[in-house]
This record gives sequence, C-alpha cells and structure tokens, in this order.
Amino acid sequence: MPDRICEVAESKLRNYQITQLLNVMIRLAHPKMSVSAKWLRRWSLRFSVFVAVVALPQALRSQPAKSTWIDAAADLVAKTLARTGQPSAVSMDLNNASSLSGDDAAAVRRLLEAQLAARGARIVKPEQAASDLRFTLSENAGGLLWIGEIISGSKRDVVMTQVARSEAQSPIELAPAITLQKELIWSQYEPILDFATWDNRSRLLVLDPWTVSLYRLRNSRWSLEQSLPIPHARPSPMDTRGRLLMLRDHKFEAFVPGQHCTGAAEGSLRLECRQADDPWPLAGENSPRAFFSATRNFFTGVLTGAPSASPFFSAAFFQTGNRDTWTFAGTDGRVRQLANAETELRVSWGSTLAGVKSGCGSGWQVLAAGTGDFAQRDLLQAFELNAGVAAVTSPVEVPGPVTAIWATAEANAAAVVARNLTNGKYEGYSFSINCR
Amino acid sequence: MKATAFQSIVASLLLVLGAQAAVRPHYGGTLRVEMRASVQLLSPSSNETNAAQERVSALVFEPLVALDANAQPRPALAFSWQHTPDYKLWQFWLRLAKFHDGSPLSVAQVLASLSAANPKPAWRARAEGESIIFESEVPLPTLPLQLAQQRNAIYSKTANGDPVGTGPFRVSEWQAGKHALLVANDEYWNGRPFLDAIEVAMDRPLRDQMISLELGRADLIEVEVDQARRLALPGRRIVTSAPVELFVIAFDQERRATQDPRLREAVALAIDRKAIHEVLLQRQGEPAFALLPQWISGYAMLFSTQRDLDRARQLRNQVRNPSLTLNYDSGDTLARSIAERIALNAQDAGLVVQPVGQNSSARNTADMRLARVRLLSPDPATALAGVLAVTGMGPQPVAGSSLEQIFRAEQAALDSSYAIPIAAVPEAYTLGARVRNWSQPRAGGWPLAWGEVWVETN
Repeated sequence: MPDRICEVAESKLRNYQITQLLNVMIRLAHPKMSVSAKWLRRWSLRFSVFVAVVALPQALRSQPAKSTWIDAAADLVAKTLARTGQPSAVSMDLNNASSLSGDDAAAVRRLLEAQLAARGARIVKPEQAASDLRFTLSENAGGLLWIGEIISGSKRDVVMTQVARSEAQSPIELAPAITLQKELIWSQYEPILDFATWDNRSRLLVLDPWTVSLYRLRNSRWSLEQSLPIPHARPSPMDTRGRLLMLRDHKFEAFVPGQHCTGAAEGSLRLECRQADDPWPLAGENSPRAFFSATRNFFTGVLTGAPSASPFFSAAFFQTGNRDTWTFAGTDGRVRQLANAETELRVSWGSTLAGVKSGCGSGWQVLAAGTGDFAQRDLLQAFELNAGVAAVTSPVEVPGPVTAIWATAEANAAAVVARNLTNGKYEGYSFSINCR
Repeated sequence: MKATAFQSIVASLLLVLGAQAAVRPHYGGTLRVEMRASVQLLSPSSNETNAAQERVSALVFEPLVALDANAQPRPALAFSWQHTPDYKLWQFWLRLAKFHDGSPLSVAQVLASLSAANPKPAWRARAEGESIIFESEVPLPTLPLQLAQQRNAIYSKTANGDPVGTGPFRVSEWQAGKHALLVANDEYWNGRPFLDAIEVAMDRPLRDQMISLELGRADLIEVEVDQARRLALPGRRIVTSAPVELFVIAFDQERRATQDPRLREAVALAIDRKAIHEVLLQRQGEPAFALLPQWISGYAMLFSTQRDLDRARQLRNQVRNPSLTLNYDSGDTLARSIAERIALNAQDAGLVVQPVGQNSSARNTADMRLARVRLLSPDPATALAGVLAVTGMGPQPVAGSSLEQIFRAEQAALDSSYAIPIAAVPEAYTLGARVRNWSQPRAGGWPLAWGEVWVETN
C-alpha cells in the first residue's frame, strides 16, 4: 500500500453499494486535491516565498497562483544552466507552440527570466552572449511540455520539463445583460444530475449518480462539507438522470433510477434512500409527478395529477392565462403540448427543456436546449407559447451538450447541466430570464 | 431597438432552421460497420499491430484503464488508482463488474490476464484485497497509459477455454474473417449501451464500403486518409483522429548498399515531405521529421529540417553507387503513391530509387522499405519503442524513461539516418446520417466501447 497517496482518479462510478461507499470515503478524504498536490503546493509555496523576496516580484505581479509553473520554470532553468556551465551572459528567445494564451506565455517568459537572473545569468543580446537559450512552450498528450535548447556555435543541447495542465476551475461566465443569463455554479468530473442552491447561493447541494454532496461557499470557493452515498441494487443506465427537489426547512427529495431518497441539509447532511420507482416531480413540490423508466433515460409518460402523455425525456410546465399547460420533449423527437389534449408543436428543440416563471413577457417561458447530439456544443434559448411559438431571447451557448434542465425553487431561474467538451467536466449553471 | 429586432429575427431563424432531431440518446438500433480487414480470432491479447482486431476486441474485453477522447487515462475496470511520489509503487482498485458469463471480476483474473499479456513486465504485480499493487525498480509515470493498451484487457475463460470479457457488448455471432454480431451487455457496469447491437462486416474493400454507405446499408465505414477531404460532402460526416500512423523509410541495415551514411542522408534530404503532405495526403496529418508526431512527444518541432537538394547532390557525388530499391506494401495504394513520389524526389538529387510493390507479409528483399507503422499508444516511450521495433532500430526506450531520454533515443535513431520519417497520418472514417454521439478518439479507434454512441431509428 503506498504510504503517500498521489493520485485518485475517480471514475464514472456506476457500481454497487460497496464500491460507492469506498468512492465516497476517498472523496471525503481528498475532496478536491490529492496529497501529492498538497505536497507540491507546500514546496511551491516555500519556493515562491524565496523567489518573491529575492527575485520575482515583477514576474508574479499579474499572475494567478500557478505554483506548478514556478516549479517548472525553476526546473527548466536549472537543467539549462547545468548544460551551459553557468555562463554569466546568455541570450534568450521564447516560442509559444502550445495552447497557452499570449498572456500566459508572457508570464512564463517572465518566470524564466527571473529564474535566470536569480541564478546569476545575465540576459544580453545574442551577439554578446556566450550561449543562446531558445525556450519553446509545447504540449503533448501528457500535458504541457517546456523545452530549452542551448545553442553554442553549431552545438545544440536539449532539456525538457513536463508540466501538468492547470486544473483551475473555469471562471464564472456571464452572458451579456440581455434576457437570458447564465452563471456557472459548480463543475466536477462526475455527472451532475441536478443541483440546488440556497441562502443567497452560499450553500449548494449536488446530486450525482452515486452521491448527494453538500458544499458551502467560503472566500468565493466551494468547500465540501459532506457527501453521502446513494445505494444501488444494479448498474445505473447510460445517460443517468436524476432529480433534486428542495422542500421547506432545507429538506429535500432526491430521485435516481430505481431509488427515492429523502434528506435534510440543515446542519449535517442526512439521507435515507429506498429502492423504489416512485414518480419524480417534474417542476415544483406540488406539480404533477412522472414515472421514470428505471433502466433507460426517459419518463414512461404515466403521470400522477395529470393526464398521461407519450414517453418523454423532459417536460416544461407553464401557465397560459389561468390554464396549466405541459410541454413534453418526446422520445420520438417530437415536442407535444398537453392542455386538454396532446397536440404536436412544430419546433426544432432538443430533448431537454423546462418551464421558467420569470414574470417577463407573458410571465412564463420554456427554456429549451438546442439540437445536435452529445458530441456538440449546445445553445439554450427561451420561448413563449401563446398562439404560436416565439423565441424571446437570443440563444446562449454552453461549452457542450446540455444534459439536464430542471425548474428550481428560485424565481426566474432554471438549473442547467452541460458537459464541457473541452475538459470533460460537468458544469452546473443557473440560467435566469430577466426583464430588460 | 434595431438590435432587438435583429436578435428576434436571428432567434426566429434559429428556431426554424435548427436541426431536426432530439439530442438525448435513444436506446435501440443496430450500428452496421464495414472494414477491410478480416479478423480471424477475437482475442483479448491480440497482436496490437492489427488495428481492426483491436477495434472489435475493445467492444468485448476491457483493460483496467481506458483512454478518453483526448487520449487521457480514464477509469475502466479499475475505478481509481494511486501511486507513490517516485512512481515506483501503484495501487489500482477494481470495480465490481461481471464477465459476460455472469462470473464476477476478481483480482486473480486481472493478474492472470496481465501476466499472459506481459511475459517480461517492467513491474511486479500482486493482489492486496480488492486492489492490485504494481511495484517496479524504475519509475513508471505512464503506467495507466500502458495498462490502457488493448493487449492488457482483462478476461476470464469458460470451461471450454474461450475467453470472455466484461465489455459493453458480447459476442452473439462470429464468422471468422467475415461477420460478427455483438449485442448489448445488459449488465454492463457502466450501464447498458444505447445500441442494441453492432454488426461488423469484414473483408470489405473500400469501394464496396462506400457503396454500402450510399445505399444506407452501413453506418460506419473506413476512409483512406487521402480521400477524406474529397469525400467530405454534405450529408456525410468524416471523422479523423490525431496522427496515429507513421510512414517511415526503414533501411535494411544488413545490406551493403545501405552502409554509407552519406547515401542515407542524401535520400533524407531529397524527400519533399511538404508536397507529399499537401498533394498526396491532401493535407491530412502532418509532414514528419520526427518518429513521433507532435501531439505524442511535444518535441517533434525540434527535428524540423528542410529539403536541401544541393546538399543531397553533394552527398550523392561522394558515394560510389547511388542506387537503391524501395519496397512498399502492394496492397496499400497510398503507400504506393508515396513510394513513387520518393523515387521522383530522389531523382531530382541524382539518386536512383526503384519502388517495388511487395505483399506486406513477404520478407523484405529491398535496400529499404516504406513502412506504415501504427503508433501503439499516446505514451511516448511505448510509441517510440513500437516504431523502433518495426524499423529495426535500437536501443529502444524502456518503461520509465524520461522524456529527455526518449528524445535522445529518437535523436540517435534519426541521426543514424537508418529511419527516415515521411508523414504522420490520422485514421479516418465516414459516418452515416443515423449515427449520433460520435466523439472520435484522438488516439484512433472507435468510441463504441464507451457505450455512448446511438443511432436514429425513427
């Protein structure tokens, strides 16, 4: 057994109970960071203190906390100077052949210059240099690769340093101040099925196929408070779905295929689950509920508190006048409206939608994902359904396919989950519809 | 106001002009695949140079670790792993999974499978509870990448000795070299795949594959890389990987004609890789000056050299007999085009290179041969070892080599001029209109083992 855990690669863990419990234990032990990362960060911190005092105030001025870069720059310069025999005068050139931005490349240049200076090397013009140093910022399948070429006359020597890619969380993105706004709340590698925030978005409950996790916002960062497993009697289906319904006094209900859980998020997290195919709430607490197919990814169409519909992936509740109306994204690709009877709408929406009570326009809108499949970026747009269907906002892009849209207890907002195609993470957004 | 009106128009247009299908995956349907190769035996520990065998095998047999679309390790039969800071000790935790015959995955089967696939491993593996410990004298920083190779798939054996896997599909029909029907594994640990079945038709020439696609009888066909651009017509979707194959000239080191390094260097300097890339390969992949493509090594740009006919002629004038024969696989039309272009390039430098088509399985009888080498892994050490083995070069980098050591091994091979890289090319496929959720893996192959691809059945 390794004495120091360096990496815990968590999976799309759709497995049985024991495995999930283990998974949760690991997550609780190392919520966002492995011991190795801590170790690296500790040493990086020591080194950065030294550098900050001795040589690097300029280099670090506009930098985010990328301590691994400082380590990498130190390593590369140390290797480089070991090959040059510590000359006092070198020329330096830097070429960015990686996906790093110009600003990041400039920051690396400053780090390298500072490291050279800290080790007694003076950067001069090529004609005055004893050695020419050519640094290249490259990348390979394993991450970033920084290369140093030491050129003395016709002789060339090469040194390299592999740099882990930054795992920094994406910054919050805000759409232009028009009617539809998105705000990134949370991202993780495990599929987010649903999430909810409260207390002015200082508390966050996240449902994934295997756990319910409670987070608290501290110094603008979410920290895990508790995570409890959801037992499973059998593997979850592909494209697992789930629903989290917040009730009064921070109580909640959680639904995943074949399991119905109740719990509370006041103080410590409590969760009780039982094997059941109870119907899931489609909108709020008092909305009709629908039976979910436990081994597939859709609702059967059987509703409680409303007439039954064709099998569907998602549903939007809204009111037109005093009339309650449901719109269903059917498993056959058709969108149907259910008021007194089922009628088909001639729209090109994706299979994920929800109703939002914004108070704008007619008061209610349907928020619908775009078309395309799960290998493509997606667009969300709000529509109104009166005499016909009208788009009332510009489409807003998310960095991958939308996997869930759920109505929330928060006025004018919906919880949207998308899978970021760039980094593979699931991202939970709050999409709000605002009046201009 | 104008902006608002414009936005409304754009929004309405988007509403009207949007694509017509729902995004959420649908269960059901059969994906029909056609391929040139004939897979005779479905074996987990297959010969990895046979890409077709590996593609089919990956649907049935899974390793501990898989590669995601960006060629990064992701959990498969191991749901997590950890290592010591020096990378000499690794621990992989097994998930609870079942083989297709219903028996549970066990540590013993994992050890047996890995032992059979790695007669001389760089590690010592042992069981610790429900985990596997790998120990090594040297650091193994890329062990997950090595374990992700299909030859490291885990299998059990039935009473009659047939291997069974844990993968998302199980074999329903198997007609060696001709036809396979794989059906969804309802008990798959990651959830039942969306597809009901995958039907594989083998031994299908590219032309026949294209006809099948056009007639709606196939959903996934192969495309030779030089045809990818031409076939990219509306209604067809061409997908390509990162460069995963290398065209490389390998000199026969035993032949007298190849002993003079000036002759080998003259050939290397005469080849116009840029023209080969732009014209013959239709700009697919990249001209190769290194044995590993940039996306795998990250340092390929350090080997960039330009065609230098003057220098090539100078060197040619220094050698006694500037004449060489060049073998290529006679069944590979792209290899033939490249070999003929190399001969023309050599002629420009006053060299005589005679291309000779030869069956790929025949023993090489020429001074040099144009090899099409499959890059076995995104792990630079594994990939370079594979290239050096095929080209008869050495010494090969060992597991645990640092990137600088790998670079120096590659540099030594290139400096010898016994291997001349020509171009690195991707894999290419054409998808039918029914296929959805296809995220082409960067490292090549099909994403079907992830179980996420589905087909429109309405």
